[in-house]
Amino acid sequence: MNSYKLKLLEGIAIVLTILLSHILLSVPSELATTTASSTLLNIVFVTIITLVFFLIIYKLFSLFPGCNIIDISEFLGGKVFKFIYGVCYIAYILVLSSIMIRLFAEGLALISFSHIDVDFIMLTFVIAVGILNSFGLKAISRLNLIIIPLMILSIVFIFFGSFGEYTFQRVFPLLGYGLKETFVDGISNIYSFSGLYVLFFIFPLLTKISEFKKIGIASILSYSFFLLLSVAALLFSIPQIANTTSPLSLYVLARQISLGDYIQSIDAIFLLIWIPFMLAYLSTNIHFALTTFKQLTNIKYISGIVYCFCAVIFVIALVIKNMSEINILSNVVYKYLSIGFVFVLSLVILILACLKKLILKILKKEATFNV
Amino acid sequence: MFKKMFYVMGIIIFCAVAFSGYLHEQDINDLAYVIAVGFDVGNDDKLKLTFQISIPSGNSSGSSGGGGSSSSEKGVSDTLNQTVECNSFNSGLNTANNIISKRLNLSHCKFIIFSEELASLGILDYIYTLENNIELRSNCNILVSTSTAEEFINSSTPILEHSTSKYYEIITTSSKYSGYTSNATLNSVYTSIVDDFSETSTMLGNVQKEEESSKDESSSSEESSSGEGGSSDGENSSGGNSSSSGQTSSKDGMASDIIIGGMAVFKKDKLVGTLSKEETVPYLIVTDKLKECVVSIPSPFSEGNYIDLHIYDFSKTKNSVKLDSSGPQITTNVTLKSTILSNDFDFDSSSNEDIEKIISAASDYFKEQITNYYEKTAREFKSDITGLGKHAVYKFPTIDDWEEYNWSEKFETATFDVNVQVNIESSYFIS
Repeated sequence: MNSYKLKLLEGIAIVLTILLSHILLSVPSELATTTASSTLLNIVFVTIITLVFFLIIYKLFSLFPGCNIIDISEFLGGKVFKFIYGVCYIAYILVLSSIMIRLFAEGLALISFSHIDVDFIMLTFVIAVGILNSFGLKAISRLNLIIIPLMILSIVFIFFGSFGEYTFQRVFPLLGYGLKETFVDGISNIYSFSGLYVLFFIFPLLTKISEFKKIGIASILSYSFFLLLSVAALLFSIPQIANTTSPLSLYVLARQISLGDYIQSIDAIFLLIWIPFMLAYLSTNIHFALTTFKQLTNIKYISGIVYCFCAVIFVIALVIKNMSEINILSNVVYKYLSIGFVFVLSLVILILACLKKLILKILKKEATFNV
Repeated sequence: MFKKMFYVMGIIIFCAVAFSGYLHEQDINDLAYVIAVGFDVGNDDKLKLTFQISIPSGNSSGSSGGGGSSSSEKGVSDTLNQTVECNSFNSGLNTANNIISKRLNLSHCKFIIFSEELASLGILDYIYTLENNIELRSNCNILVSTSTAEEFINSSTPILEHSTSKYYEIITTSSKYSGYTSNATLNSVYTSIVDDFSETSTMLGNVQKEEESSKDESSSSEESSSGEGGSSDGENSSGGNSSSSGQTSSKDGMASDIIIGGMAVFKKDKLVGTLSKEETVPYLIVTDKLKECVVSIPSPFSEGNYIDLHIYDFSKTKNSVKLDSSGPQITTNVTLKSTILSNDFDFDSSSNEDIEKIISAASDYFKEQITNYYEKTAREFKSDITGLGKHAVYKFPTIDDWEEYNWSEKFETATFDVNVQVNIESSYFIS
C-alpha cells in the first residue's frame, strides 16, 4: 500500500488537503471570534511559531531518515510504547475525521439538504471515502492534486467576490482584546495548523527525502496565506462581535457574492468544489490511520480494514447529538487535543528520541574506545 | 485506464442527470415565489406578515389579494398578496404555506418592508431570523414604510414594467441617479446593527392616497411642478395614468401610489427618525454613495429663483475625526463636479464672474445642507448613520479602550467642520 512514493507537488497537495479543511470548516470564524480585530496579527504570529516548530522537527527528523513518528516512538520506548502511541494516533485521526464529517454534513444539511437526514449524508461520504481508499495512496494523491487548485481558487474567489461588502476599518482596534490576548493567549490558535500532523508520517513516503523541508515550508506558508485571506474576508465583512457559529465559515461569505444583476446565488458552485475536497480530506486522513495500523499490526493486506475504519468514523459521528456538542468538540476538545497531541507530545517524543540516539551514540563511542 | 474511467464517469453523470427528476423532493411547480415580505405589528398576535407572491405568467390574467386573517382587494396584477397574523416570521411562513397550498420560497425575494410602527419597536430579531434564512439573498432590499407594510405591498404595482419583481429591481437603481434614497440590503442592515462604529439606515417608503376622481388632475400638476425640483423620483414616475398599474384601488375607493424616497434612521435596531429626500443627498455625498443627481440651489442672481446643477463624478469625500475632551471634532472635505442645467437670462454661463458666483452659492448651499444633515443625525437622532466612527476606531489600540470611549454616546456631542469645493465643468450648448 505504501509502495507509491510522493513527488514534491503531491506532498504539498496532501499536506494542504489536511490543512485547508480547517479553512472550509469553522476555524476562520472561531479565530475571528477569539482574537477579534487582531486575528490577522495573531495569524502572522502563529505562522512564525509554526515555522520555527517545523524547522525544529525537520532537524530532529533528519536524524531518523526514512522513519515516521511511529518508528521513532518504537525507537524511544519499544514496541509497547509504539503500540500505545500508535493507537492514540489512530484514535486522534478517527475522532478528528468524525468531527469534521459531522460538521460538514451538518453544514450541507443546513444549506442544501434540509429534508435529508444528516446520517445519510455522512453515510454517503463514508462509503465514497472507503471506495477511494481501497485504490490506495496513488488515487488519493491524484485526487488531491486535482482538488487543491480548485479549493484555492474558491478561497481566492470568495475573498475578491466579497470585496463589495468589506469595511476595512473592522481590522481596528489593531490589538483586539489586548497584547496578552493576542500574543500569549492567542498562541492556542496554533491548533489551526494541527493538520501538520501529516508531516510526521510523510517522511518515508517521499521520493526524495530532501523535499521534506520544501514541502513543510511551502505548505505552512501557503496555508497561512489562504487562512489570512479567509479570515480577512470574514473580518472585513462581518462585525467582530457577531458570533458566526456556522459549520461552514466560507459559506457565510460565499452566499453574499453576486456578480452583477444576472449571476447571483453562486454558492452552489462552491459546494460542488467543497464536497470532493472533503472526500479527499477524509480519504487522506484514513490513509494515514491505515498506515499507522499497518505498522502496529504488521498486517499484510490492509484494504479490508478500510471499511472498518470508515464504520468507526461513521459511528463516532453518529454519537454527536447536536450542534452544541459539535461546537464543544470542534472548538474545545479538538483544539486542545490537537495542541497537546500534535505540537507537544510529538515534539517531546522527537526530542527524547534524539537524546536517546545521542546517548546511545556516545555510549557506543565509549564502548568502542574502551575496547 | 483513462478510457475505462471516462466510461464510468459518463455513466455516473448520465444517471445523475437522467434519474434526478424521479428522486426530487420538490420542483418548481411545488413552489410559490415570494417577491416581497411585509412586517407589521399584529392586531391579535405579535406580528402581521404580508407575502407578495409572484403569479406565473400563464396564470396572471387577474389576481386578488386575500387569505389569512386580513386581505385587500386590488386590480389586475402579476402578484398575489397574502397576509397572516403570527407570533414569528417562520410560523407566519408556515401558516402562509398552509393557506396557499404551495411552499413559499424566498430565494427571489427583492424587498423586505417594515412598518414604521414595528421598526420603532426594534427589528433585530427579525433581521437575525432573515439573515439566517438560507433561501433569502443577502442583497435583498430593506425598506421602512410610513404606512403599514401590508398597505405598501398592496399598493405596489408597476406602471412601466410588466413584472412587479422587475419593478422592485428597478426602483432600487433610481437612487443612483436621483440621490433621493439610499439602498439598504439585508446584509448591510445586519452588519450595521451589529457594528459598533456605525448605525443603520434603510430606504423609506410611503403610500400616497388620492381620490380616484381627482387623481388625473393632481398627477398632471405634479408632473408640471417636477421641473422645479429638477429631478424625477418614485412619486413623479408613478403619477401617470390612474388606470394603469402603479396605482391601485383600495377598499376605501382611493387610488394609491407607493413612493420611495428619503431614509429611515435607526439607533441600533430601533427607528428613531426619518430623513427627507433632500436630506438624503448630503448623506449620499458624505458616504460616497452618490453617482449623480440634480440639485436646485438658490440663485445668487435673483431672489426666489433656482439654478439646477447636475452633480456627478465625485472625488472621494475625506472625513477625519479628532478626539477631544469636549467630544469628537469631525472634519469633512467634499469635492463635487457639476454642470449647470438651468438656462436662465439672469446669468451668463460663459462669464467667469457669474460662474464664480454660482460656485460660491453652490458651495455654501452644500455646506449648509451637509452641516444640517450632520446636526440632525447627531443632535436629534443621536445616530451615526454616516459611519464616522470608522475614522475614529483606529485611534484606539484595544477593543476595551474603544468600548470605554463609547462612540455612540460621544457622537451626540460631536462638532462638525464641513468644507465643500464645487467645480463647474460646463453648461448648455446655448446660453
